Amino acid sequence: MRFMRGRLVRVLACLNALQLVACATVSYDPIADQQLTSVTQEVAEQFTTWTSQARTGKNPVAYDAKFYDKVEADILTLQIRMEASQDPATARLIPIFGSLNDQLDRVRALHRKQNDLDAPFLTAELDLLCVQLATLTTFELSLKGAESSGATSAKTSSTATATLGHKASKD
Amino acid sequence: MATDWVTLRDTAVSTAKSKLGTAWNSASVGATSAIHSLVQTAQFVDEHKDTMTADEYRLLTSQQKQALQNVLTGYEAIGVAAAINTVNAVVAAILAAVPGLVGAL
Repeated sequence: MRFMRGRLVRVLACLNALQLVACATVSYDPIADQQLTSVTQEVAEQFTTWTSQARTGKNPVAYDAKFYDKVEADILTLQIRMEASQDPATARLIPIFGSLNDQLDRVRALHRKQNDLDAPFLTAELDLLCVQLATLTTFELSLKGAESSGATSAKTSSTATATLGHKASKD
Repeated sequence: MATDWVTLRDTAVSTAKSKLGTAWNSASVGATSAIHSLVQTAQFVDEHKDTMTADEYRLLTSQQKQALQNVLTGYEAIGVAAAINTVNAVVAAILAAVPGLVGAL
């Protein structure tokens, strides 16, 4: 009898611990997903246009402050939204947003200084930004998959997006 | 000496695998693809360094490190999310099977 009671206490303690861990569910956020798609599209469109222009060699790719302002503001908005979710997995992503804005700042400074950018630079830059944005999108999509299947999986990868600019640029 | 990009790519993937630990199980497909993409970009930058300015080349090479770090951080978070949501699913299954435990907890 004493053995059975001890065993029951241990089972209940385990379940209690599991329930505590289980409190912080990581949920899919359709708005963050949409914002990520918009930022990725914005970056991809602008860099592809600039790359085409740079390849013609006719006019320099002039610095455009409005583009950088818009993308940096969008990334900040996304960061604030994801910070609000307060789950331990999403919290790990927060430094990525600061890093992305830092990278864009450095591209902005170089663009302003040269008032032109070379086509291979633009191609590589688009690849680097897209692979990072794709990782964030994969995070959201893995949660979306988890909600429909009942378990999280990162098998659905959006990293294909990251190679789009690179492949297009090689053509 | 020419860079062996295939070996470099394989080394990068195996290093990422050891860094991500158990998170690798849930993130291996996407993480491998992202690392391949980053190594491909590094190769592209190396092959085109003569057709860009020195400042552009310097910026890209320094940015590659940040990009890799962010990709690994992202996939680590995917692993964490997978672990949390798996525990949630197990707890939900147990509580659904033995509803009486809800009162006991």
